[in-house]
Amino acid sequence: MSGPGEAAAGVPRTAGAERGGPATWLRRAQHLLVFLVLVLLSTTLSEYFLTLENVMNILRQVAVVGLLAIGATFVVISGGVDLSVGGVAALGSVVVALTAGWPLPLVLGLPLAIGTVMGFANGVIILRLGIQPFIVTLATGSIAEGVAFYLSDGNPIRFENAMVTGLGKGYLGPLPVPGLIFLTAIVAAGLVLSRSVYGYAVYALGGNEEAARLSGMPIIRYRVITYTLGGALGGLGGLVLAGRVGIGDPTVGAGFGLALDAVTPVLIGGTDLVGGSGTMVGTFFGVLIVGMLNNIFNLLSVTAYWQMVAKGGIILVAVYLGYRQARH
Amino acid sequence: MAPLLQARGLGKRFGGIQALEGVDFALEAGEVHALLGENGAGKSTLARILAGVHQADEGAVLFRGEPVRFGTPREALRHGISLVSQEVNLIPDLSVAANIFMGRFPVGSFLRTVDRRRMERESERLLADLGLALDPGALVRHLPFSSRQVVEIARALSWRARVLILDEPTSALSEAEIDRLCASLARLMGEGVGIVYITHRLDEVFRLADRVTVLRDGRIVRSVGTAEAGVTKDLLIQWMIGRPVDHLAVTRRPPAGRERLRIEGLTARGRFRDVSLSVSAGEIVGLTGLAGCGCTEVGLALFGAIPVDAGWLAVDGERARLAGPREAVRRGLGLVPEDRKKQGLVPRMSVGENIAMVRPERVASAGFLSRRRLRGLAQGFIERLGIRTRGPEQPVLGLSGGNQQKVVLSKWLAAEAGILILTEPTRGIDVGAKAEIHRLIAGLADQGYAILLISSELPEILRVCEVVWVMHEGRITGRFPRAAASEAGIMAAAHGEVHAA
Amino acid sequence: MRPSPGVGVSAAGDAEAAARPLFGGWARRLGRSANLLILGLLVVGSALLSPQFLSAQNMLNILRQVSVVGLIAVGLTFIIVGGGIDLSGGGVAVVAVVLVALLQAQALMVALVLPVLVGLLAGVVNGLVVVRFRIQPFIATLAVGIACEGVAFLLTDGKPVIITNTAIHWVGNGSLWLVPIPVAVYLAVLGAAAFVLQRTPFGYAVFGLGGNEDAARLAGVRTDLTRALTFVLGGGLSGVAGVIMAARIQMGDPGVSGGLVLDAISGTLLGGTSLLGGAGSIGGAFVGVLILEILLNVFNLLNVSYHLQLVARGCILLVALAIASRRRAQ
Repeated sequence: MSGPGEAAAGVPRTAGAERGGPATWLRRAQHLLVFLVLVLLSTTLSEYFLTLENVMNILRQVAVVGLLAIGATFVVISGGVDLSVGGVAALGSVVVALTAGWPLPLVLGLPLAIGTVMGFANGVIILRLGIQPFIVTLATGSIAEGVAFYLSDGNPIRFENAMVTGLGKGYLGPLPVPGLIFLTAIVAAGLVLSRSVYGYAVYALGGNEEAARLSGMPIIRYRVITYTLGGALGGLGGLVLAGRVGIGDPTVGAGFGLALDAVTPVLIGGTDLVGGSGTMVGTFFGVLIVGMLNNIFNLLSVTAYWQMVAKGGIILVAVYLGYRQARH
Repeated sequence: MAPLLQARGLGKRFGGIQALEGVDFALEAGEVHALLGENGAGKSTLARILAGVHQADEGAVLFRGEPVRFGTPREALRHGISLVSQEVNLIPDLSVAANIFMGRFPVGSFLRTVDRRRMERESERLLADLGLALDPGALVRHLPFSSRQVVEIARALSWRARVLILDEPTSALSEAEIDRLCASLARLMGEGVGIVYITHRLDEVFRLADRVTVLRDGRIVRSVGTAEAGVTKDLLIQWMIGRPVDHLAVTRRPPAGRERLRIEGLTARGRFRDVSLSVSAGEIVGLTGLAGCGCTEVGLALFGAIPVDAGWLAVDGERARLAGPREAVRRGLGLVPEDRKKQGLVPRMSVGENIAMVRPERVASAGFLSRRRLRGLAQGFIERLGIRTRGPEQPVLGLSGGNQQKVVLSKWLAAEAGILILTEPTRGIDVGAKAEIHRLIAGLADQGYAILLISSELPEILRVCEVVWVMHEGRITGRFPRAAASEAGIMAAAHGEVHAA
Repeated sequence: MRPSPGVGVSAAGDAEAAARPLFGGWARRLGRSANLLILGLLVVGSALLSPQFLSAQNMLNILRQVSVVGLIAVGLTFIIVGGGIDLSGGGVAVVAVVLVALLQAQALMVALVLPVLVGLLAGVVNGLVVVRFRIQPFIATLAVGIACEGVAFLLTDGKPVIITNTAIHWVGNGSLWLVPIPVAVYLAVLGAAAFVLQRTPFGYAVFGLGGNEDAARLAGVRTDLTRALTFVLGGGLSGVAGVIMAARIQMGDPGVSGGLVLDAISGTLLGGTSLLGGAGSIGGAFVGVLILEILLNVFNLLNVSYHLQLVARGCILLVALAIASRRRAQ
């Protein structure tokens, strides 16, 4: 029995990142607020904070997680989840280290290709088996991690490759290259998400898959594309990571840590875990906020272990707030 | 002596609609009291209030003369009032006995474990009383549907009910099972149990019930004894329909064009069987019936949204096997689904985004949506259909029901679907908007659209359609061209009286 | 118009449906014994592949390994049957491992019981977050698990703590009448859990909760409380697993959580528990974990690289998922 009378709903939420829409401004302001508070906090904690050098530093540090978060944004808005990005990134970085002497297009292209293939596999398995994405990607993620361990024999691999290291440590003017890659990627992704037909489909899938299906939308195709995109960005993240530290490190995806790191900025950015809403701009601020929190932790000499505990707490709070927003 | 269960002046509102108003109802101990009425007349609402699922806004419920107010179904159960709804609510991977006793298992005295043997013995007894010999240890998952319904009834009885409210208990039962059910109901009556029996089968009313109450639009029409003189099926139908029949004078339409959609012997196991009909360009064909008739499923099957087991379908003269909605869309079909919020719209998206959903490429170039063209497309439909909204950017969530439905319709018009399947298009929409949508539908037919209108609202069907097909429990029971269509005739067919066209 | 299940076709439907319980029951029984079949095949195959497999020492080793993962799997069975999921098992277990080492100087009971209590506490947190704040179980428990791992590292400053307490050694490596203590504990827990899940009103309520939450609630089952209790149980059992593990490896090592929860989930799913809830058994969890551990044991005996084992574990989980989805489709 569908509701007989109709009442106007609560706060309307538009799907795309419509510049100027009042509701999105309100929500974006939330993150802006948190962002500003954190900037204030950081400045009081260390006068070093607002220097160009430190800002660029932060940008470079968030680049890898930021790339993963871009992929996670698409996946979460479409109503899914991808816990395999950590393993994919680890595999990517190991492959880079192992093929460092190969022709450049291969060195750069292989991690991307591997990530793409893994993402595609994720999509196909999830849709074919009809099983919840979190457990499928958990499994594929550990497979990727296992392959990374196997290829590297469990140890980080040093490698020499000027181009790759340039990618990770280099600068283009004042901007660190990873930061540039991240910014380019997020702008492009943001445009795709908010303006392309594919991005529109992502919102529809997350917003009401049944309605999308009954409108003739090719559900399988778009979902597989989404997971493939997430995988590709995971591979890119691994490439940049290898470049930044000069090491192919299989342990970087250990546990669910990195996958969670990828999803946290998305959630902080206001994207609801059930899908159908959220923006790339939100993720951008989420990434910055996470980066600044890390920065503050380091300035305060908080150990990595406390950070782990904090991570768990932050996720819970972010998800809860997102849920609260969706309810009213 | 006070009646066993009584309602006085019951009123209930859902949102903007008055589901029940001033309802008086009385059930005596040891009697079977049938409730009749069209869809939406309020039968289920009354049943649910009596059973504690809903709470009334006005009026009172009295049990054995004492006023009671049930906040939860369990409170009603403890008073001995048990509801068996048509939706079977069992747990598939537990045994029959466990389902019957869920929530109040008999426990052994020693270890507080579930006394399975006692549970199964009791269940066996209850089921035998209902004429079903079933292994109480069998998992519900393995039972045929008809048995599941009996298990539900057994569960209701296991609460030592004094009042049993059955909402269409026989829709899934075979003849033999119905006989057995009747026998056990007779036995219960002998024990002083009062039974409220909601059904669409008029035969059963006369066979089983002592009294019958007819509801219409949330109010009581009449309450009579079934044995009273002059009480016939026709009279009951008349009371159910009651309102002055209002045939909108429809402008003469150009004669129907070529046949666009045809189905023969379409069968979907468990949902409908052997359905044949056709829709031509410029024609509005109606498909109607009561709850559980299978009409909605026919619409979904036509759209490729549910699988078909037998029969065939032809679009524009060409046989087609629709693997899914995408194929249906490609062939020019469009479906306005029954539940517009769950199936027809993406609530958080804007009016424009919803309208563009079938062929977004039309407002895109090189894969990127042109907001300008999208707005233009949406604006066009906003004007053409008179959608009341702040603009193409407003989330559909904020629109009223009628306007939301117009958005769904616009979606298919934007996709240039020439064959439209409309399911309950004016459900939950106020009278004014209803008329508007009917005008729209008629206008579309004038333009050459082929329209299949699936609806349980009789006035709507009669007002708009040239031909009406009626279904009852999955089968076609009648075909009424407009000239020969009457509410009474259609209502009879909907209740199972096969109409030889 | 409401869809009606047995509309108009009951006569024909009955004929085929009457045949169904027989047929369905047969397939189901085969499904259950399929696991035992696989187990049998595995044992035979492994014995053929490696002569050391059937040695008493190896067998005992397998059983000891099984006990740790198996304990987590028991808790998971309750949670998954109830329709939820818990990814924090590894993190909770590792907190317990570390606590045992840190408390080894205290009375034996304190060193062994306090970690379990902490596990129960983690379970309470999980239950609260899921039931009260309505956060999806997978992410809630994921977050709690990561936080727990952080706590474990904090408590030991990242370095393993050697356990010198001989009593704890005995718990990990001693035996009670030829039965190694970890195995004895595991078997005892198995028995108790099977009893609770299959015989008590609480167990029935868990099945109801997972099978059809609305039906259970309408029948008067306190679904929120039941679900929260499954999480508490899971946390406590992960704590016990951690205690056993600490006693076995004689170390409080904060880094041992890797793969634990994945293995436990694989074992539970292989044993026939459905991710959708409402179906499963403790015995199945036992067989499932056994299958998994035998596979890993064989890999070890065949000197398969440890790293390939990681790959194998992930593949096994995928296979378990695929089987589960096939079962559901039938």
